Amino acid sequence: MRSKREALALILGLLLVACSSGTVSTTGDGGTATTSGSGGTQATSPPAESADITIILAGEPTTLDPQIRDDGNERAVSDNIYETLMARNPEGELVPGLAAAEPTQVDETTWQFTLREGITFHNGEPFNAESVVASIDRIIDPDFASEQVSFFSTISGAEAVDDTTVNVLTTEPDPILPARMYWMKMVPATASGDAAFAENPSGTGPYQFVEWVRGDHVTLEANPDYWGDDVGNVTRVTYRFVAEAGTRLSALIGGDADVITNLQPEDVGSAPQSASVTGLEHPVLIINAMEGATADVRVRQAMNLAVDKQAMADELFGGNATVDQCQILSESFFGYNPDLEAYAYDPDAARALIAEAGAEGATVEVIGTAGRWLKDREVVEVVGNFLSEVGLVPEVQIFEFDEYLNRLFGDIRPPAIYVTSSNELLDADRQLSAYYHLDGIGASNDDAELAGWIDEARSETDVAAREGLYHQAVQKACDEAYFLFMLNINDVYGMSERLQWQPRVDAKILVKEMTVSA
Amino acid sequence: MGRFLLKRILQGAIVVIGVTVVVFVVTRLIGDPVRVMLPLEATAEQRAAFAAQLGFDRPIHVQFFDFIGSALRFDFGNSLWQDRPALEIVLEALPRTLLLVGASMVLAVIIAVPLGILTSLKPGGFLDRLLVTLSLTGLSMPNFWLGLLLIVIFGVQLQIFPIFGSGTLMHAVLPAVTFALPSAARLVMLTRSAMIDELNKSYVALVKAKNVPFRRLVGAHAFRNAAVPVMTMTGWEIIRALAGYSVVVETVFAWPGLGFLAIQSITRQDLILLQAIVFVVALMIITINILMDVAYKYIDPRIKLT
Repeated sequence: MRSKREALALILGLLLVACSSGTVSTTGDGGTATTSGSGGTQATSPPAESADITIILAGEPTTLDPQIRDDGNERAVSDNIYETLMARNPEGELVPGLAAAEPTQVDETTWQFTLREGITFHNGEPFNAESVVASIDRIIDPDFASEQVSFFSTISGAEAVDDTTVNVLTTEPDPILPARMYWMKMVPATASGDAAFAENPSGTGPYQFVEWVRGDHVTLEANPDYWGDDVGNVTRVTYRFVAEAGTRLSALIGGDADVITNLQPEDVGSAPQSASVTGLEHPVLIINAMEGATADVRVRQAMNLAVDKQAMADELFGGNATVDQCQILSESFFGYNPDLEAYAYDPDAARALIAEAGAEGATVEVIGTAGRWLKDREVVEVVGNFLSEVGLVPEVQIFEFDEYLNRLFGDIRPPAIYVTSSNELLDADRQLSAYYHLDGIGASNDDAELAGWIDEARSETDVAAREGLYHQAVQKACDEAYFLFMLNINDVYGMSERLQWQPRVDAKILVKEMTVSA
Repeated sequence: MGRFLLKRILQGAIVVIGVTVVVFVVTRLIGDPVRVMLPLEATAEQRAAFAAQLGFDRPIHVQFFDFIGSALRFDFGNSLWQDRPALEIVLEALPRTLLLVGASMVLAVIIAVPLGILTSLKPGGFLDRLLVTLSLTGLSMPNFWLGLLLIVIFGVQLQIFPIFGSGTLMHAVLPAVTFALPSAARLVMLTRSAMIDELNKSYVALVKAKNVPFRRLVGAHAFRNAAVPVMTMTGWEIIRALAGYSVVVETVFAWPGLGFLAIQSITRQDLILLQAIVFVVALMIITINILMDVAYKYIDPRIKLT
């Protein structure tokens, strides 16, 4: 009698548990709706007259002053409030923005910009040479301590020629100055003296600031006086901030969001719509070409041959990644070498090369971190597996971020260390200076020839010659296998049924490019 | 009593200062905020300039005395992340966390104590076994998972409660329940075993012999004694919620409280904000401990406060 009751109680308890977990799996399989249009733009019904949308970001902006921080969440909002002299079209090509035309070079260290006329900031101030000079002076001021200084290291100042012409001065010839101006957001001339500018931001962009309730949301509304004519039908946009990926997805499925960022690859099937676009991030391993077993180029090449990059893209990233073509550059970057091809997946050839180099059983320490970049830990662990299959003995070490940085930036170069390199300027200089150049903070080679080309390119103002130098440089780094080249990660967004939007290769989330169907 | 309080407050002050100093030393010696705040590709010169701007290039002991001097005036400096006084940010977030933790603990006690007493009356009975099974289920559910489960059921499917955020009281329901359920489960188990202990003591037999009504026997006699461990556990649950679970639950529900702030300050390497958070949390924990001690005295006058 008693044991019967016991059993009944146990079953009842278990049933309750089973019921609740059952609910999860049905929704997880996409019980609500699923068309993950890869392009994300299936024009189904006509656009609505006007629309309010909600965008959920993975974190709250630090500030809405666009010049002080280097913060992706801040950019996600302020890319819609502010504009830059140079812009990029959706394909990533550099085009004039607030500038009326491409800048011209007056001399080696002076670039001249002509400005569009008749544009005003949201606060009513005119956009003119004065505000451009003030914006430049503000961001390069050492006392201002902008985290973006590394983008503008060559700029020494600016001067107004007349009301719509500005000269930007550089300390040395700087061929990528136009690309740098794509990164510098223009603020009103009065912003410099205004301590509360971040509380009441004002730009020239298609959306203007309404309110920011800290910890909760930021609201923008369409700028009725916007100079451009390519604005969609979104009249009001609310940004909310949710760090947990599962909660973001739930909000999207529950109809509380129109766009969510950083949709996890495994959740693509559950989102009403999703869109994936080549991103800026390249996970890669920096291999030590100076000492240890990896000083032998054959070992480095074997490491590249040992890893099945396509399988990683498919399995780890659900297909939302492409194989790097033997360079840490995306196709949209200036300096990308279209002639290079990824090392094939060929474990037999890898084994043979390792035998030839006499490196069988050599220990290779592979250092990574966890939780900083998408699947950072998994990538390193998978690489470790592949390496062990071709006769090397990988020692995978996952460090906490700070200790990881000690290794990444340390003088003692680790045999192999993971990094995700990102390049918002879309110009090869940044990555090549940091990781390819022997003095670079994350470089593990002592190749003086390679460094020479990178230095030369930095001040080469002839576009074709400069591109040639970069092609040469990335070619050599590919042949020498200074890196274990892996993947270019896609940015994946989840979208509501009613939204039509094609994400951009420069990762900007421009609301003016979104359309909401009725 | 007054002497006791004074003594505990002094002890508490020493602990708070100790914790704050340890956090300062640990964060400055292990972490380098400049390295994390600038992009990976920034050059050495840019890093040095940035460190100088923020004062991180000064010798560690200069930074330390500067810090202690300001901390004594409750001035932790400006948060690196938000560029406004760190304490101000913490004090903004604190009420939100207290609301959640307070609501969830009230909920947990209201659920757990009656159920715990009920199960103790007939140990091994049907109701006892059912509730023990449920409690074990409840306390083995991780917070983040329970949170997502509630979101899926009540936010996405039934659409009764908002999924995330903190605008209204409705927003507090799901996170408070997430906090409360595992706590309630632990409290049911504890109340049950404490009550079983009491009900087996000889004084209970005496009280029974005096023909005291059963309800009064359980409520006024046995539970009054069992309440001491239950209160200890509740205090412990509050502390764990404040200093630990809030990080998980607030992240899942995007609830901008203290736990959420703690995670943000760590990932953004905002040492100054982190120090202010640790200071305030340490203060809360010590206050709760003192309050618990005083409450014991009221429940059980035999306890001496020394």
